[in-house]
Amino acid sequence: MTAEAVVLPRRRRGLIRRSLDRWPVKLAVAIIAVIWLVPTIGLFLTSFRPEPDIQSTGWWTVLGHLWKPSTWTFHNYSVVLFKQGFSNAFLNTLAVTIPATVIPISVAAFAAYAFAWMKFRGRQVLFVVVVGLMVIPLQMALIPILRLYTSGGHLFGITIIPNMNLNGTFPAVWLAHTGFGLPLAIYLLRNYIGGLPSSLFESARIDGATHFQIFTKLVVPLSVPVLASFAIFQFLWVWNDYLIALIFLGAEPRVQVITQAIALLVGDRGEQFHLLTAAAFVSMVLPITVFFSLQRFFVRGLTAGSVKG
Amino acid sequence: MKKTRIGGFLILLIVFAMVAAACGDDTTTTEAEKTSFVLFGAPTGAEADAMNGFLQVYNEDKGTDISFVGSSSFEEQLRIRVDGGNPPAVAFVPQPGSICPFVELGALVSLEDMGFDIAQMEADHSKFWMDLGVCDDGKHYGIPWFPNFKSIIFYNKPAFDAAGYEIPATYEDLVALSAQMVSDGQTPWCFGFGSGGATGWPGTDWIEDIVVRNSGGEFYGKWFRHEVPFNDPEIVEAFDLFGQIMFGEGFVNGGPDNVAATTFQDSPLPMFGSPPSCMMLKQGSFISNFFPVGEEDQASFFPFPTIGGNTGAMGGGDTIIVFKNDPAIVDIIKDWIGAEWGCVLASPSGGTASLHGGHGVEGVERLPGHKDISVDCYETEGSKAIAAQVTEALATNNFVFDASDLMPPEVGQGSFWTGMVDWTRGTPTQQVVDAVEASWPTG
Amino acid sequence: MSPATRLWLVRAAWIGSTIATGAAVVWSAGFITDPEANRGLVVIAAIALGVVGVALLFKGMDFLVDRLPARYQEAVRPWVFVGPAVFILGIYLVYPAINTTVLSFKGRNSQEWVGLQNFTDIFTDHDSLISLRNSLLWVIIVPLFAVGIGLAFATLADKLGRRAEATAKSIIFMPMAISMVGAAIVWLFVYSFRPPGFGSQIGVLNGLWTGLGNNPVAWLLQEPWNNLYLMIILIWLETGFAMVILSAAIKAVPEEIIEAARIDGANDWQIFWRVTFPTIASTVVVVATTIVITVWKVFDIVFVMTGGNFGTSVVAQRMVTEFFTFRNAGHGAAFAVILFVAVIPVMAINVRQFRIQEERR
Repeated sequence: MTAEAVVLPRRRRGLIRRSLDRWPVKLAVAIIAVIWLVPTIGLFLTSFRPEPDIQSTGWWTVLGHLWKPSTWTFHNYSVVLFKQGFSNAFLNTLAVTIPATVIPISVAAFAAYAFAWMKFRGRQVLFVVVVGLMVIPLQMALIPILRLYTSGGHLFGITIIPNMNLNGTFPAVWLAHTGFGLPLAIYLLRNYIGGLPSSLFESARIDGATHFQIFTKLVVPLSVPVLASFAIFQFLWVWNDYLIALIFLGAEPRVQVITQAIALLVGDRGEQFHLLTAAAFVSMVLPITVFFSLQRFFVRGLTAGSVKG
Repeated sequence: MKKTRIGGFLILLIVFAMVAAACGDDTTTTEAEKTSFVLFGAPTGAEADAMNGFLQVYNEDKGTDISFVGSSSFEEQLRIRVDGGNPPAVAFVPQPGSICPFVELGALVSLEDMGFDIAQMEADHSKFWMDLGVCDDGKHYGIPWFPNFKSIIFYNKPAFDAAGYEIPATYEDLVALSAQMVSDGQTPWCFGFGSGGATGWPGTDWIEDIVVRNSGGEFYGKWFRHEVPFNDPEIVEAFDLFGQIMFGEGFVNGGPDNVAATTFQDSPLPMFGSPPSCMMLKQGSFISNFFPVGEEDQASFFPFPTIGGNTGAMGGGDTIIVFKNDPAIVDIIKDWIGAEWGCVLASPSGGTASLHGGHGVEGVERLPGHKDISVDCYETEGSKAIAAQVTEALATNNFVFDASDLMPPEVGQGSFWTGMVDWTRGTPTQQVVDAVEASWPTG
Repeated sequence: MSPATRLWLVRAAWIGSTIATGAAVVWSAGFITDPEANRGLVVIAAIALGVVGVALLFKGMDFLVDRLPARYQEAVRPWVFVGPAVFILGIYLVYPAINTTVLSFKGRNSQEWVGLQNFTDIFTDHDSLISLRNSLLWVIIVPLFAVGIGLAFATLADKLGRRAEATAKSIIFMPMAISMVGAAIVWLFVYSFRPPGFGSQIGVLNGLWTGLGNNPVAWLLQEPWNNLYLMIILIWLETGFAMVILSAAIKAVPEEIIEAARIDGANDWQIFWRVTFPTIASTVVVVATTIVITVWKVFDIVFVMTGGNFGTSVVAQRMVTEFFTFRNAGHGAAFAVILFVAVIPVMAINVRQFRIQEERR
């Protein structure tokens, strides 16, 4: 019996009843969504208001005169978008973000598979330590890592890690983001991969598949939803990061990332902070697009179907 | 078959070795003869644009390649970069107190080692400011660049003139004027101590301006160096003097309880409009950036009045520190702090006095850090007046630095700020100063 | 073609392609470290290196293990899979953690040993104890609401049509996409306060509150409720995380089990608690653990909104303030060590969950 056959009768059976009992669901979803949306709407409307208005009245007052032309302006956006170096910053951010998303996912997926389905001594202890590493605040890690980048690692006068002159390069940032993102990635992926049915692995082993084959041919395709979820969060985190890029890449105009370009719009006492409203939305466009494009991996049956097949 | 296995093994090893070698390669190409470095500082926004504008003029004139990097979390960044072994070549710090810890790490180059003429600099930039960069080894590490000025009080000129008020000369006059305004049905003062994580700092400026006048410059020096305790009777007296205004009946718009909750950015707003909701505001010259658009003209300012006949010029300022000893860099810094290039930094056009024009960013002016910078480098009468006051203070060594920037950060960026907040919300003065004294780090 | 020639050809192709890939990797490695290079090419080279390089690394190591004597293979292979992760974590997290722990026993400039002085300083200081109390409250309240709302929302949205679900989820997810700078402004327009006489309110809460005829309130100064107001910001941010992960888990619950329960006459509420929740329990633990740790480490919200004043300080914010603002490396590191230690009970719960999952197989 296929999944299709199971689902169909249910659909027919409850057509009328369903549309009725969905109302509470819709209402609950709508209420939560509105509560979540109100602060963002405030920011959004503000981003189209002239600066003096932002200072003098609340954003909700625009609802009283929506159609008055003087209520709205694109000035904030034009300042942000045409700021010198903004497009370069956009490219730089991509050059940082994409590899810093792909590398930790790849490395974590292999490790997660081993933690879930391979037997080796110290597996549990090692896994708990890896997860526990999530608690290391990255502020405490910056200085030691920067020291490794600038002068290598030495123990009792012996060079353990050579000075690779990595600082100020893209790989320096990728590796740092990989390090900081790995514990969560391994944790999420192990939980998911560990939950796959064991019958799957037994039959594959009987067919003579190696661990490497099982991983690439079975585990990766089946883990697409969790890979996509982690990809979104790592992407967002790197995209919105300011500190790591500033420390390991620098902030000279040629390597500047978007968050740095945005931070520079505002004076150090908060002058012109109204520009941040527009900047926040400009920098949100791509992450939201990524979220939407990955939505198709979050549908029911994707895993269930493949597991059966 | 065995052979292939070993062969494959070797090939892979070679590949890995090549990758490792490539990573270890120093791929940076050295620029030709051009002096090229990054200047690191706190300014962002228009202030950073002005810095870039200044450097552009300088680079074009001298054929150098210097770029500016500004960061909103400058102090933290600089600390990380120095500790991590990757300091910038040159930086300028708003807090002279952060200089000597870098010296202890062996990160800074002294002015003596770079061949600066200390005596001449003390004459040009004031001995007070030069002394702020002297660390335990007795050498100088800080190069005064440009100050800002806090000993001024803004007021609504049209309303002031209409009521026939006079600019107060002494602190007693100021208190009397405030009382007069209240009896005329006006609210005299606006306050805003709110500043997110730095809430309370605008209050410290009041105490400092009062201490330097009421107790004199010598006591002021002892105070921030902790040679007298923070709960010294003189300091209590300064709080009490400030209290005459803060807690005067009807003196404060919104009342003292709301002072900490009002952001300093919002604090000038009620001073505008007719009739204004308050007449006066004490804040640094930068606050004009937050005046309501189109109404800036209503505001004017007068110097903070004298106490016991003492005047004072209190402000902050940016001090250059150098991490890399390079004669080319030294020459460049000598240019920057001199009167000729200081004029370019002064205003958008450089006024009528500049040989190289200005930094080109409207609305940004930097006060003179050298006694010989001409007031004609500035465009507006207001700026010329402040600039004249600052250059005179520098020449006569009367310029004092914001004490909270000179105290240990636990106090100057911690308990002093929170103490001001507690004080406005009703904590007795003695309790406030005792708490600040207790927080002073030992050793 | 004789088998021997074929073998040689295959061998030559193998060697040739290996060298070619190696050369490409070397070239791109040199290329991407050059800050002057074209950004578009850097991205492409980086992705090639990131994806192909990582795949090649694992494939190569697996290939090497295949060449080992059979009796070692099974013992070594797991380390091929976890090796790169362990190596990177060792450098980027374990080494800094050890470094921090050492600093916590040294003085403010990390020059001299001071024993447990930093810890006794913290546990005898009133303000530090308040930050510990606040952090505990944060760790209980924020995950409770973020996971609860996230789970409810994921479950409810699952019952909607596909497009409605995608839209609803995007709304909850959106705060995650806003940078910290943006989030700070969003909440400024919620909590902003102007005393009477400073013009009209620009914060929504005070707009509503004064609209009802009350005097404006300085929300972030109202102890102890200001802690709750700050927590709301993090709940707003983290619910999206919980919702996305839990939604993926709910989607993976086999349809057949739910249908079977429905045929047995179970209603939606019973299905959720008897079928869905037990199936996704391990994911709930994962999400809760992740948010608990995120909350422990929260500092930017407090740092930006109140700076820890008015009784709102938390441990991680104290750590950053002590370390970077006060330049007291000893105190800062000691706060960090308190963070490390406090996470041990959470890890214990995870070990249990880990065992349960393995026994179920």
